[in-house]
Amino acid sequence: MVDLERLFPGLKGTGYSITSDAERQYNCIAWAAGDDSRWWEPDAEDQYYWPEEALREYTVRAYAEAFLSIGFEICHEVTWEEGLEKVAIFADANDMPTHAARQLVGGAWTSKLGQAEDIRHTELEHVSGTYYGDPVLILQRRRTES
Amino acid sequence: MTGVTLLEDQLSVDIFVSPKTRDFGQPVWDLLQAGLNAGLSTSVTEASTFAYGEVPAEEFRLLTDTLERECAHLSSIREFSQHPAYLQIIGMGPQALPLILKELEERPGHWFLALREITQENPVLPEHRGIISEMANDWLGWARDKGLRW
Repeated sequence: MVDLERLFPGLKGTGYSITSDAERQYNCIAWAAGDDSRWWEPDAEDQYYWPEEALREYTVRAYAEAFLSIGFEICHEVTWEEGLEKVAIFADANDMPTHAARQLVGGAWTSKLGQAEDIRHTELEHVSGTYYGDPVLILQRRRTES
Repeated sequence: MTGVTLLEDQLSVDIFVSPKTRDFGQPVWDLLQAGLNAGLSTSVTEASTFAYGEVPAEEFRLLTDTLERECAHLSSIREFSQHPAYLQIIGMGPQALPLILKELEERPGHWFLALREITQENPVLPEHRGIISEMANDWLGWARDKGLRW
């Protein structure tokens, strides 16, 4: 089992919770997009799923396009708003996308941590740091589920 | 390596190695040539195994354990595939295929970029992209069609 608090020190003492078993079938991008059946990855080798409408490359722009293709639009407000579903794209210091998190009803966030577990964390920045960098882009769409 | 090119031309079915992994030495090409001359279907993997021996399963297991321990949190297979342990497995070339395929069959995981790099093939159907179990089945089916054993 991965020592989450060693990898993401920001989680310590925050009351985060593990909400799934470790799972290698899907990644954070898929999970943020609401898809737990596939691994989303813009690999040049054409092995993984990536929306056709999006650039197939490792850039924040391409990741944004992947979410735009499923009804999201770019926004600038990270706080919880009734009726809206938000996702945050993280990138490292080189602007390389590293992670995505999805906002839950009420304002907490859910993150799939690579091939490890899903977690629920109260603040977006709790998974910022060495591995995921920081949130660099927020997108939103009208929430469909209650 | 002029003879290599000539041999490749003759072994149109069984050659499925990348330019990077093609550089595995004259003993392998000699075995392939001998197989061809004898009218046998000898794959690169088989020839490599005879020439150099198999990749020790224990070494492969150590590398996969390292990957699981150090990369489980990575959200991108690009990062995962750049880990030294993953690169070391790719560097084993065709000799690693039986172990990768066995691992893929028993515990479907992210071996697809290694398989792509070693073989330069892509049997994954577009509709299966990202679906790990289907991708694994596509690769295992390809390997069986090539006559590989694991």
